[in-house]
Amino acid sequence: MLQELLNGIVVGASYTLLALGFSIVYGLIRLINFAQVSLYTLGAYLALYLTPLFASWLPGHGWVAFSLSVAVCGLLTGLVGVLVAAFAWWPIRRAPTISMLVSSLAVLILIEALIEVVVSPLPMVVKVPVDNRVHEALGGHYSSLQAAMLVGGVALTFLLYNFIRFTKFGRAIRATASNVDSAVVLGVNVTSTTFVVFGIAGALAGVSGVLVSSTYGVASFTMGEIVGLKGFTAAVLGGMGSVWGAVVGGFTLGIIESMSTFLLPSQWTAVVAFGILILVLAFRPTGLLRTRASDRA
Amino acid sequence: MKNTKDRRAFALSLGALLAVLLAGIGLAGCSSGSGNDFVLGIGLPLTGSNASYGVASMDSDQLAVDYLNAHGGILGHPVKIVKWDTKADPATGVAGAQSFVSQHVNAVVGFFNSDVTVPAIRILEQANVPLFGDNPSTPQLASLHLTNFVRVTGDDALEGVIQAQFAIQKLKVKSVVAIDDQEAFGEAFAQAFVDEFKKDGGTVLDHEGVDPTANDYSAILSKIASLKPDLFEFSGFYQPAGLLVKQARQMGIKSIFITDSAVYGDKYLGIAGPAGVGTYLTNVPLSQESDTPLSKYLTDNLQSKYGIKADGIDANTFDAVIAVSYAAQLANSIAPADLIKVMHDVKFQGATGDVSFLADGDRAQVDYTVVEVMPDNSYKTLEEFKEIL
Amino acid sequence: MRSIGPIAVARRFRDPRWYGGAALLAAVLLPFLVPSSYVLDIADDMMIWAVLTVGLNLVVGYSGLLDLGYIAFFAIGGYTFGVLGTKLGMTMWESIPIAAALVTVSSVVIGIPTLRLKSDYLAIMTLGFGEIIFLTANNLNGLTGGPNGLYQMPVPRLFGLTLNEPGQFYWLLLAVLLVAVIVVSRLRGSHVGRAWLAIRQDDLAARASGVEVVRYKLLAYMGGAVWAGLVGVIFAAKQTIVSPTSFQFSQSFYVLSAVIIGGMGSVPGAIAGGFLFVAISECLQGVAQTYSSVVFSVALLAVILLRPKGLWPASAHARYESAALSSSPAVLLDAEAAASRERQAYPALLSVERLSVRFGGVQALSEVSLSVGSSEIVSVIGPNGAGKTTLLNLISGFVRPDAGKIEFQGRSLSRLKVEARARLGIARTFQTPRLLATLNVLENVMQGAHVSFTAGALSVALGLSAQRRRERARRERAIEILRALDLLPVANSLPTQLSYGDERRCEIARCLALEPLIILLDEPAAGMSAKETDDLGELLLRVRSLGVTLLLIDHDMSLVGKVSDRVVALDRGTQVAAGSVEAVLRDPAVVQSYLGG
Repeated sequence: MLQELLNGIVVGASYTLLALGFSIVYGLIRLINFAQVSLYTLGAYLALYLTPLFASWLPGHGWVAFSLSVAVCGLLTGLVGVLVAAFAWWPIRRAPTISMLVSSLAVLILIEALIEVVVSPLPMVVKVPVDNRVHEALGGHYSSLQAAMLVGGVALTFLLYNFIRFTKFGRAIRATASNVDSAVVLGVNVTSTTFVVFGIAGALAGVSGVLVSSTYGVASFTMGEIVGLKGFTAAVLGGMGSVWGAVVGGFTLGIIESMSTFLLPSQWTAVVAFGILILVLAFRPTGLLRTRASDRA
Repeated sequence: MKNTKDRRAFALSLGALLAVLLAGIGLAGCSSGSGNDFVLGIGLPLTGSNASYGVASMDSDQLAVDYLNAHGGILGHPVKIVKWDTKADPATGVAGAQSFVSQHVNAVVGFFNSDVTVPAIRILEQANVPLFGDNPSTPQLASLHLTNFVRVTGDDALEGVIQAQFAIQKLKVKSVVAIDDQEAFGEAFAQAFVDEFKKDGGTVLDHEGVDPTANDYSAILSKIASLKPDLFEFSGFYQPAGLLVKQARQMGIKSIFITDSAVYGDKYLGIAGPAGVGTYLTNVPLSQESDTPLSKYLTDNLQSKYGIKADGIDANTFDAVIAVSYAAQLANSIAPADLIKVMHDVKFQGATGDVSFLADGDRAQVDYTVVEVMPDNSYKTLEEFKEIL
Repeated sequence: MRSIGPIAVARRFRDPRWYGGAALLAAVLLPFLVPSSYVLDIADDMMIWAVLTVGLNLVVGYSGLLDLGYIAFFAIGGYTFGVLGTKLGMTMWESIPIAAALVTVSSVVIGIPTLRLKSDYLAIMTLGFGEIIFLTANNLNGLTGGPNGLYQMPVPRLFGLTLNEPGQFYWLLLAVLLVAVIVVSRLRGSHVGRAWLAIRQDDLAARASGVEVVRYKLLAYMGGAVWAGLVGVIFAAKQTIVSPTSFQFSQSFYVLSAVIIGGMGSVPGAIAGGFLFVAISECLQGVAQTYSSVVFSVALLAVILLRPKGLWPASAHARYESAALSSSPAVLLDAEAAASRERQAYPALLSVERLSVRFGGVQALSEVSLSVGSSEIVSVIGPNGAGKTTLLNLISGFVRPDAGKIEFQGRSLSRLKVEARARLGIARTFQTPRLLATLNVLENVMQGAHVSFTAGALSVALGLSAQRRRERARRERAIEILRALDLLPVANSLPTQLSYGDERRCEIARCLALEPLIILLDEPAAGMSAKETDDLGELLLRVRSLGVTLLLIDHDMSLVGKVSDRVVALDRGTQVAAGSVEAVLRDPAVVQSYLGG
């Protein structure tokens, strides 16, 4: 069982980063921003070109090159996230949420289709210039990249949490999330806050895409779809709009899936995951972590 | 009142746009080649989740048509392709079949997915248009008693049976865990494999389905690790196959790995990496060493023009197009109705070996091989099976 | 104005009967003009899609329920016929009622726990539901045929004719679409549709007018689902196969985007959206195969960004035509309706005893007692934060008291929800007017009359004459009320086009439409000019003379002084004075509370 738990945690790390992106954008403007799923894919495809490039600049420093690639891809997808906000959200910010949602999904289709047309519809093999050794620990086997993915996920989550908790900008985000009007009164620039949050969500998705595609060695233009749905489920499971909710949701979902695969026929794993989501929402509508009061915003 | 005026203008222009679109559809439905062309409808999943297979298949179709045109076309008629993107969706496939009919195609090759083929083929049957199936491999297709249908691919069941026999007889394994990708092909294949494996005295420890788009299979693999089977089998396509075997070896699972012809190719080796070495695949006999002229033409040109290593899916598609030209020669006509009359009698040596069909449209003789992945990342043929039905 | 010119033609084009009739004529002629089975097949697909979009429009466009799993009901319909047809040999016609029942049951099962929550959660639940249905279809091999799906269902027959060609399904689908359009339009034009739109725009205002929000949401969710289930059966019969690939999440999204492109809440928009979706993807087949997704998503983005309300936005349904103007004096309150209410002599119509409520650390109201007799006008005054609006919220039921009781006609209200209190005849206005933004003034007032409609959605859908008569009668009433309030000139305007005073009066008109026993008025004179305030005072007195009780909150002491029989003054949640206007306004505590603010 320990093995299953650990498997779940590794998978959960990749859900968490996407869940965080969903969660912070939703917390701010009540939009389920599906567009960031395409940034997950975009991140993976950027790394396809950037990782070998950096590796050729830094021969013998595989991990440095890889880390650099992760950071640069995250930065780029973050920028794309801001662009998405500028083109697909800003012009219709006063329209019903439903229109924003459809526009966000249209961006998802557009970016995926562009990758399909420009790169290839075939899955791409991803090579990483690091010594991807397999380690035995706690009764299971883990590759170095899996460990890196876990560490990266946890580190980013802490970074984001502290950013929101302690910086001036983080306070602006929190103020806007709890009440737009009073945030304006407090002198918060709501627009730029929202753009930055879109950027952060894009960067998180991109980093997640690079880490996952590098760890498992394959990228495809549809790679974001299922993971995106899972990340979204995780965000809701934990409670939309809260950092810890996304973390709890991500890891819970990973562990539920892992346990369910072990205990039940694996074709029912996704049904179990969505079933639990529906049950949680029916009995605890604001997710595992959030209380009713904080949802009143 | 600007609002209502605006709305009215828009409603009018909307109606006009719709009319233009409809006219476009009508025209598209009528346009076809000049009277002299042999119009070949090709329906494949060119976009969407199955695009990777559809696009590669399209390349093989194009090569086959190039080949035919280089050899004087079909009975002297240049072959013209009319493409249709099924998006792997049955409803879109039906629209495609209707479109082919209205464009007066002489024959159709397609539709890759079985569930797209079933409804589309009925449309073609009513219109008396022959369908040369490339890869729709569900066993049930033969039971529909279709008159206008043959397929180059063997059905899933056959390959699964051969795989099970090879495993029991040659690999001498006693127990297996079978995994499929929960899609039409993999599912039916795994079922046939599991049934035959049991029949031949083996023990099936578990039969599971996985999400073919997932990255991490550690959950299902730790289940396999705890069952310690002699063999673990995967039915489906190359991406999950490569990831499964790679992660299994990482987790220290030593069981022999065997998989199917849809996995065969470079991508599998690329994804699996060193873990792919020593794994077995059933395959339709097509490789660089194969000596039929058509298979050499296909492998060489796919490599040089598209950079793809030919696999069974490509070869089936290729042969489906070639079969059309043989049918026309046999009928000495390019009229669809004449093609239907003779299509079951077609016989030729194609890229997939000897091609001929039964009355229900199934391939009469399907050649399979079993290959092993060598340490230098090449496939070595171990066994050849000639299944004559 | 009656001359036949381009303007008149264009005006007629605005009338749904004209463009609908023209479209229907075109649809009937199409199979004769273009007898290509390819074109008819596309036309079939377009109509299947249009039924889906019209159905989803009811859920999303009218009621604002964000449904991301709509295709699940389509799947349930398709698989019902698939399973019954292949396993039991049942026909398409026999499967339809069973599919409808299954769809209804599943929409209730998924709807009841969800619809209590905010709309966003419905999005998530429905998305999960859609996935579960898809995965179950894919996994339950024995029942659903797994990924291969089910085929060899019996070919449907109609009048001895086998339906196996697009041209034959064309007529069936055209009939279904026509029925769907008629039913959905009827619902839209009824109190049911107005209640849905009210919920979508402002569910507080909806509840205050007596709409049982959860029930109506469920009705919308079910009403939308049934169309998907019905057309799912026909889809399966036309396809001759049901397989899971037809029912993926992307399909739900495409139907949703077709509704948005067409225009939320607009039936012609929904049809146009569905038609366009199929037509465009068909055209892209010929033009830009590999780029089809790129082109499609760019087009979708363009429409949403450039026309966020859709290509054919919803328009007001009921319109007031000036020709119908009568010159008889306006009737403010339907005497018959008012008399039909229970009117016994109680010591007080409304009595509030020792009412207390806390919000967080603030004691918003503490031990306030108050009684209002029949046909009385009682004003509550006090500085901001005195608890006046809280008192109104407690009486109308938006806030629950911590202690104390409220009785209306001698009956305790404590167990009743807002909408039930509205049914008893308690109407209210809001401090900031809560008119329904996409309904015109006339429809706003008709929506206010919600509680006087007793018919269910089914009799609306069937167009029963009793229901039609009632609708007509209510419309007349609404016009009467508007006339009495001098609002007739703006009857066809949207609330956003109104002056502030008109907006206030429109709110009162909504209240009057409820045929209330008491109206709770929250600062009705705020933002009004002196003249308007004066007229408002006259109006309130007239309303009272008809036997309606008023509980008024206002800062405008000229209004309070003019109309009030009694005044109650609050400060920081407690009652500081009560009695006649003069006495209260001179009370030192009141003076102090205003000065000390």
